This record gives sequence, structure tokens and C-alpha cells, in this order.
Amino acid sequence: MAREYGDYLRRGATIAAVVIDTSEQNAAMVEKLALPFPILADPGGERAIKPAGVWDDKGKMARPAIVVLAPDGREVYRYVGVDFMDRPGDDEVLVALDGLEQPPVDAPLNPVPHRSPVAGPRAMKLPDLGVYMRGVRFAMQAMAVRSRDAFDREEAERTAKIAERYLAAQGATLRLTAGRATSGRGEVP
Amino acid sequence: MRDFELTDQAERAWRLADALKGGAMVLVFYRGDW
Repeated sequence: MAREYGDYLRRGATIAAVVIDTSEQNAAMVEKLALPFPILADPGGERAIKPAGVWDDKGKMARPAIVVLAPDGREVYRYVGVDFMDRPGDDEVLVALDGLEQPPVDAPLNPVPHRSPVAGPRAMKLPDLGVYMRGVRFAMQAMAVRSRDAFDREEAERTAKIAERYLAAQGATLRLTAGRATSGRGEVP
Repeated sequence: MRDFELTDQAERAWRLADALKGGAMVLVFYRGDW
């Protein structure tokens, strides 16, 4: 989504992410991923996450979701994922924006200068995410083959495709942040 | 969706109603706390 931000601006939309993390944590995330849009802090979820109906009471955090609002505040698209990996592709969201027929937004594509952050002890480094997601993809592909249940097989195939999208985004982000090709651990779409 | 105000990564106030004045909005909710 971040790497396709220009497609959103051309359709008259901007993006904001909402999460329970603090502004300080979000600043690190924006720098790490070179995000062109803000991350908003909603610790406890009371202001935005719960009113939006996407609060995961068990996990005490937001469920992964995307909501598209028209300029008049009307909700025109909503996707709520079943787990942290489950997100729609950009195409699906962009189609919803096409229906609004809005003029382009004049906003900078990269308002936040990228600096290499200092990774904390819990941080998974971006190149390592490729290893992780490849593992997810292979495991889901294997599950799809072995599954005897049609629903489980479709879910495994869907999750494998999600992992592929993560890998493509990881490769694009590595190129953007490092200014060079991936170091062999990510995948270039 | 009802209006809300939060702070961005630079501790700046961000209000949904103000953002919508500039066009459509895509709100991305994610789990955080990695």
C-alpha cells in the first residue's frame, strides 16, 4: 500500500494507519518502512479503533482492517481480516476509490525522510521478514496440497498469496530504503 | 464513522474531519505491538 501510494493520491485519497502503539513506536515504524503516510496512535483503542468496530477484545488490539471513506464521511468500503496477515490487495481498494471519482490529491509521496533506525531487541529486521514470509508461503502451499477440506485448502491458498504480496512489498521497500537491489534475502516483484 | 482526533508519529494532532476536507480517506487498522 505504501509503495502504491501514488495510485491512491491520483484517485483523490490519502491514507492514515491507526494502531495501539505509541507515537514514539510509530515514528520508528514510519522511518523503518519509509511510509509516506502517518501512523496514528490510539492506545486502548477508545478513540478510533473501538468506535470503528474493529477492536479485537481478546488480543487487546485492532483487528487488521481497511476502511475507505468518501469526503463526506460515508463509508464506501470495508475489509476486516481474520488475522494479522489477512489484507486485501491494493487493486480491490483502488476500485472502491475509482467509484468516488475524486480529483487527485496534491500531497508529497515521501514526506518522511528515511533514516536507518536502531533496531530494538524485539525487532525483526526487514530482510529477515523475507525469510519468514517465504516460510509462511511454503507452509501454506504444503497445507493446500495436503488439505482434504475445500475451505481449508482455499484458506491455505489465499494465505500463500498474501505471503507473496508481503514478499513483493518487502522487496520494494528494501529497494526504496537502501537505494539498491535486495541483498538476496528479499524478493523483487 | 464518527470523527476522532489522534496524534501522529510526530505527536501532531490529526483529526479525521480535517483530513476528509482534502479528499477521500483510507484508514488502515493494524495490530501493532510487534
